[in-house]
This record gives sequence, C-alpha cells and structure tokens, in this order.
Amino acid sequence: MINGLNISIILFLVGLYGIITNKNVIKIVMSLSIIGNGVVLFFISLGFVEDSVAPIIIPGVDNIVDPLPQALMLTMIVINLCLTALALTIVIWLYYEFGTLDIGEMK
Amino acid sequence: MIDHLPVFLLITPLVSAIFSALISLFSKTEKIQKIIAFIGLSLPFFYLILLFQELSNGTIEYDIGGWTKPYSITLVIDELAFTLAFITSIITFLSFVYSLKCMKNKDGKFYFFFLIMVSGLYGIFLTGDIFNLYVFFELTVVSSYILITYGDKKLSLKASFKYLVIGSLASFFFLLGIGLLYIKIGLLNIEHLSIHIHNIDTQTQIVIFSLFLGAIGIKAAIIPFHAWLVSAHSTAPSPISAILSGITVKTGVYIFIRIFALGFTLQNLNEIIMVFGAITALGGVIGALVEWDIKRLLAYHTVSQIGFIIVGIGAFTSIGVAGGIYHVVNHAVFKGLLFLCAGAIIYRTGTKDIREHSIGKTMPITLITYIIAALSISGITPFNGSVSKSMIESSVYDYPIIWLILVFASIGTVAHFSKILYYSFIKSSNKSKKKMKYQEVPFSMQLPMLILAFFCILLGILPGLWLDNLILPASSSIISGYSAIQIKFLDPLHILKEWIIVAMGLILLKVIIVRSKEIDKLRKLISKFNLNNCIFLMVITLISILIFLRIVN
Repeated sequence: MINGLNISIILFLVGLYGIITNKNVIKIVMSLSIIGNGVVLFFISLGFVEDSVAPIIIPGVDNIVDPLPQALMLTMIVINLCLTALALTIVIWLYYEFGTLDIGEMK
Repeated sequence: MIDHLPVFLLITPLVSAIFSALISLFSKTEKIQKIIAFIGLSLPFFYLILLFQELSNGTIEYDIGGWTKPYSITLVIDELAFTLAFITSIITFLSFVYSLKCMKNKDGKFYFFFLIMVSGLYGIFLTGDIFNLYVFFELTVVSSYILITYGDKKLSLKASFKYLVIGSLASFFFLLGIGLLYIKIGLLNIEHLSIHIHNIDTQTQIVIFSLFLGAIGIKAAIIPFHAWLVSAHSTAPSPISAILSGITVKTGVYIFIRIFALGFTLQNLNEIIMVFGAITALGGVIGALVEWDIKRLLAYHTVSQIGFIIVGIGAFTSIGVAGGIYHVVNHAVFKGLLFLCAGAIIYRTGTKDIREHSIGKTMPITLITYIIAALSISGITPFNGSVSKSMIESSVYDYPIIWLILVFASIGTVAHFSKILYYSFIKSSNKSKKKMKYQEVPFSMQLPMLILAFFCILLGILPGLWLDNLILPASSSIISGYSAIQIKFLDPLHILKEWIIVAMGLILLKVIIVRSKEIDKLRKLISKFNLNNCIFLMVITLISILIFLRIVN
C-alpha cells in the first residue's frame, strides 16, 4: 500500500539507518534531513482528506484538507533548516580542526 | 500591565537578545551589551515575584491573540511551572554574573545566544500547548549547541555535533508522538489532551508513549539515552555547564512530568519508569568511576541525580512526585554551584585533571562552597539534598530492590565527591615540582557561588518554605486526590543512615584509590563506544520497550 503515511515511516527508518551506519559527518547530517522530511510527510498525510483542495479561502469551495498540520510543518521546516545550517557549520569547523570528516577519527 | 506579565516574561529576554545583537554590529566594546543582558535577565525575577501573588488565586492562564481556549496558544502558570521558572531566573542570572569574569574568549554574540536560550527556557515552562513545547525546546537547544562551542575548542565542537544529532533525533520522536496524538484527539492543548487521552485505543497509546519516552529520555539523559550529556556538559564553558546541568536537563524532566500526568491508561508504566530511573541513578555513578576530569565527574553525577528524580516521579505517589520536583530545584542549586566551583578551580589552575590541582587552603571560598555543595548532593541532613532524597527514598519502600539501588548510588556519590575533595584540595601533587600559590577568584565569581551556597543551606533548614507553598500544591495538582504527607525532618534514625552511607562511601573511595590501575583499563573499554553505537542502543531500547508494553497490555 503506497500512501503518505507509509512512505513517511519508511523515510524515517531510512534516515535512522543512515545515522546508525555512517561515520561520515556530512552523511549523518543528510540522514537527519531525511528523517526531518519523513516527519513533514507524516504530518501532511495526517491532514489529508480525499478529494479535497488546499486550505486557501475561495468562495464556494468548502471541502478543504486540515490546515493545522500544514501550519505546524511550516514552523518545523524553518527550525529544521536552521538545524541543518548549524550542523553544516559545525561540520566545516570540525574539518578545519581535525582534518577529517570521519567521526571515529576525531580524537 | 499585570495581566500581560506571562508574555512579558518571554519577550523580555528575547527583545534584549535582539538589542544586544544589533549593538554588537556597531560597537566593539561589550559594556552596553552587558547592561542589556543584565536588565533582560534580572527583570524576569521581579515579574515572577509579582506573579506569585496572582498565583495564590489559582492557575494563571494567558491566551495569546485573544482566541478562545482549545484553539488558542496558551501560556499556563501553575505551581510547577512557577517553581521551575523561578529557579531558572535565579540560576541564569547568577551564571551571567559569573561569566563576566570567567570567560575570556566570549564575543558580542555570546550574550545574544545566552538571552535566546533563557527565553526558550521560560517558554518551555510556561507554554500550555504541546507543539509550542517543541518550538521552545528547539529555541533552547539550538542556542545551547552554539554556546557549548565557546568551551575547549576541539572537544567542544565534537560534543556540540554529537548533542545536535542526538537532540534532533529526540525532537523528531517527539514530533511523531505529537502527530499521533493530534490524529486521535484533534487538539494540541495539554490540558485538553489529558481529558481525552483515555479514549485512545491501547495499541496507539503504546506507540505514543514509547515515542515520548524516547524523546524525553534523550532530553532528560536517562540511561541508555544519556550519551550526549557527558561530553556536552563537560566541554562547555563553566557558567553554561551550570545552566545546562541545572536547568536545560530539567526541561526534559518537566516535559516528562507533563506527559506522564496526561494519564496513559497502560499497565506497568510506573514500574518501567522506576527501573529506568534506578538504572540511571546507578549507571551515572559507575560511569563517574573511571573519570579524573572534574567536569566529566560532575556531568556523570547529573545523570545519576536525574535517575533519583525519575524514580520519584515514576513512583507516582504524592510524596514521590513532590520529592522529585523538590530534587529538581535542589539539584539545580547544588549542581549549578558545583559547576561554578569547578569553573573557579579551572580558572586558577588551568587544568581539569583533579590529580594536578593540589589547591590546598589557598582558595578558601571555593573550598567552603564546594564542601557545602558536596554535602548537599550526598544528602547529609542540614543541607537541601537530604530532604528531597529522603522523600524519594520513602516513596519506594514498596520496592526494596529499587530502594537498595538508590542507596548504592548514594554511596557512590559520597565516594566521588570525597575523591574530588581529596585530590583537588587535600593531596599535594607529585608532578608540579614548585609549590603553586593560587589566589582566590575575583569577587564577581565568588558572589554567585556564595549565594547558591546560601540557598543550599536555606532550602535544607527551611524546607517548608518551598514545599508548602509551591511543591506540594504542584504535586497534588498532578496526582488527582491529595494525600497528606508526613515528612520527618531531623529524624535520628535517618541521620544515622546518612552517616553510615558516608562511611561506606569513604571505604569505596579507598578502594578506588588502591585499584586505580584496573579502573583505567575500564576507561579504555568505555571510550570505544561511539556515536553510531549510542544511537543503535537507543533504537534497540525503544523497540524493546514497545514490545514489552505490547506483551503486558
């Protein structure tokens, strides 16, 4: 069954697998982004109603999807962007200080 | 004015943060920024004093934007939120005063991130909306990731990265839990969630609870989710460590109390949480066994003390929850003080290794405040730790094994704090050939230490001051059905037990000193545990909780 909820959970697990198996710090940051996208998809799928339209006020249209998860996810995407930017900044500093991207070799 | 105080509490640090960032663009001197930060950090204290009078009329609620209740974003100040916000205002202000002299490498942006973090902390304690809890938590931790990097250059970067990865993972677990709650109930207000939660079917409740336990476990550093804490708290600058250990970890405990009080209708929840708490209490002490770094020792003891708090809350009796909340306050005071003492020692000696300190009597204020804090954390009677510890221990009399584990953890605590006392202050170092003469730290660093030491004694001698006014009402609002609590202070049998623990702790210290070579081997074994393994262990633990809950329900 292919729907938003299932794909979001698969994305979450893929990201989790990425964090557990990778030693490269950039790949860890990428895995975090994948998990974040999984969560976004999860929330958007929660608000999904079949045969309805985006929650924008148009006269005569009243079958809209739940707008609250979308509003929440806008907040979450912004926070996640900030986190990714910070993580990549730290990665650059880590590379300057240790000369490697492998977290196991940073001693 | 007085109606809008809750929102002022949030925006005062936030606005001062923006001002201090703007000023850092134009001026190179830090003088104006210091004044702004001083105002932004001291005003919330006075707001809270004003709010305390309001609080006696019942819970204060503030709807942002004036929407009606289930739809609005609310700020709720009850006794629990007030207690934690009040202790936050004290610890953050004192840490700020301490950081003025202690930190040499800070730049203009330091105050910006510091104030943003404080604003996020108030937000966490005040908000009545579960999604807002996530937003404010991110506000706090993102600024703490940055503040940690002001510490030891190389190690703090690595610690900050580790904290970032694990902390983000916690947020994602938390969000998934929120999503599941929302799809089942359709509301995000915490008060309304607690009314409707028993309507959710057991299967979903299990998943929601496991996700929240994972998130909160990471935030509150419950073993095995604690991997980020020790490196992050030990490499951060000392005043930041005091806030991280005193307050930021407690936000995890606070969210835990709120989530746990939602009222999940699952079997064996209390037992699971108490077992986690007991493992955390003992595991923190065992982890500290191999350390010679003073700040790592203190960080491990944060883990251990969190275990005590979790056991108290997990027991879910009036006395247990009250003891847990009181221990949150006490731990914020004495662990803040301990990190400030460690900062003072590092400031003068320049090393974190306790074997190379050999301070002797040259720093009397640091010595006296350290001894007071050490006695508090060990739970000796006239000091504050003893009251809350005895309350927590009396709540688990029905579970003798957990009680015994807590006693062992107490013995370990005594051993480690006498270890620091012995090596840092009493024993003279072999390595330094010339006799070092240290001075006492500057007055702006002494003052916060003395105030916190005063609080350690005050909260121990007059426990009724906080218990009767704030903490017992808070715990009775969490546990429906108020049961009278008999708390025995200055019970001779209890004092005898404490001194037996001290004696056994000193024996353990002797064993540690004699066997230090074998302990170093253990240290190498522990250091092999890297980030990937930590996260793997967390995921495995979560899955096993899920399966266990599925079996017993």
